[in-house]
Amino acid sequence: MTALLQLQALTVRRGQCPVVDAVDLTVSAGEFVGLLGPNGAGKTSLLRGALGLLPHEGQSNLSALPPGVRARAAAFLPQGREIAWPVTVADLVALADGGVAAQGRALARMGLEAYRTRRATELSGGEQARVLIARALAQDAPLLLADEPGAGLDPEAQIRTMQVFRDLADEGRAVVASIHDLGLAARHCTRLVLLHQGRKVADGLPRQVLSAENLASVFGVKGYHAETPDGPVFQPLGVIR
Amino acid sequence: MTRAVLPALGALVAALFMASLLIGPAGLGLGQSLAALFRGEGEAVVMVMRDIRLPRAILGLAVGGALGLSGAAMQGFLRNPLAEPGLIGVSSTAALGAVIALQTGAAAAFALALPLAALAGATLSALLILLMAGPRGGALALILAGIALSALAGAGTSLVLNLSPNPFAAAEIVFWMMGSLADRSMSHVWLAAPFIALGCAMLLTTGRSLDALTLGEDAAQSMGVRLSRLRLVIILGTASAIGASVAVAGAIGFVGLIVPHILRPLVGARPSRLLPASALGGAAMVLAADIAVRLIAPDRDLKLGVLTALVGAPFFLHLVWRMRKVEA
Repeated sequence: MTALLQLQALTVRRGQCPVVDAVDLTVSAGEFVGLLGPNGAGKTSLLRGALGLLPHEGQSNLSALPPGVRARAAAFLPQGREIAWPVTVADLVALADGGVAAQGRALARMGLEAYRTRRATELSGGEQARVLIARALAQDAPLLLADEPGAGLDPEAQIRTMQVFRDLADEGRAVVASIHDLGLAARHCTRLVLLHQGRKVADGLPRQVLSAENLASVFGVKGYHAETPDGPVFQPLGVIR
Repeated sequence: MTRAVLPALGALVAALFMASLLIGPAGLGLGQSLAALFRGEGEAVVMVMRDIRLPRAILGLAVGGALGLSGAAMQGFLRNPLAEPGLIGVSSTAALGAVIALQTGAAAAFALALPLAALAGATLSALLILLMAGPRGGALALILAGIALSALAGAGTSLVLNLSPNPFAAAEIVFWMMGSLADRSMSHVWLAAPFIALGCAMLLTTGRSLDALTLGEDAAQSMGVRLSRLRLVIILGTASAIGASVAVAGAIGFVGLIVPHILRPLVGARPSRLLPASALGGAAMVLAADIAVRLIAPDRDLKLGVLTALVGAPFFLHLVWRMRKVEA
């Protein structure tokens, strides 16, 4: 297995306070890793620190690379959904510089082929989010880091996006995505990593990570967990604290 | 349509450049004027063409191109359609340098003292901006530092006006600040052209990075853009092109703001396509305005900067009005 992301004792500070605290993480080709944790757990800082977009201590195999080389090693979908100018969807996806074939595949995967000539700024928020995911896919990198890819998407688009990410992993790439929907994460990810107050508190198969103890101590919720013929089902049920 | 924009603008600029050479109070014939550019020595028509009209047309082309291009680059970099080249304070500090040269009498003693002092002012402001919003500073630091520098240079200019010994000295300064291309010589061209060319060449390299920046700083960096280098190129390129423009033409407002606005929808909004289009569009606007000031009031020395603002500001209001309707 090729390791595409290697973090050793990655620490990101805001002021004196560490928001990511000595996290070790290795992600190999074929994995779709769901990055879980409550608000402020350090998911975004972990992704940005790993890419070298934030000053950090510890090692990341990506952050030391020259920007042009890093762009071929990893694509990034930031949390902020900014589109400054009214460019067409085709032009926006072409920003990724991964080649025309990759752009066509990315548009097809996100169901956006009919949108090519539309102006991205005139689309709805959810459609814009799909266009930006397509842009990240079009970079055609072996690793995709996605910060809350499901935010603002309707249920169908959320499920499709998760399936696309799982397909990428099955094709031999790797995806690390921060996800708030525990049910979707349980169902589609090959592995979950749970962050709490900047530390990695659990790492493993979905049913191991989403244990009753972890849910109570990290999220303060209890949940319903079942194995069905279609795969694992998980539903948060109520607040404990 | 997008592909026809650059050739169409190029043809417009070429036509306006020719018109700028052919229009003036001397009332020369077409063939006679053009022949005098290349042949003959010492005759009056040769002097009019080579020493009066040619530098004026070249400066119109260069200054307009610099204003349009740096406006497009600044808007692309800050991802804000209200940005303009003067935002980082280069125009105001260049103007302050020129005003000091006028006030001290250096400009009267030595013809190039004024543009040289303006260039010195622009250089100083570029260094200060880099110091305050250099490699590590963000867009906000850049804007705030630029506003502070502009305010400081504006206060300096007011102080010079305040202390001017007589009304004529003050009037000279005020008239210079209105911006004009009249009575410029080839030595102005030789002084400004290298800086404008260098600045424009730097800004034209930023197209792909500005394209990526459409999606924000994080996305652009993840696509391989070096933000600190981009910021350096934008600041130095703008300072060089705009500093030299103000040095030879004074303050010509609204071109850098309005030209990218007009052309953005025509080129599909991508900054990399907008940069060359805005350079041509700026050149066309300044050449046209400079022809207009000669035609409207040949005897009154109507100032170029006054006309661009008079035409530009209402047009800008019209754009804001249309934008308001779309957003509502």
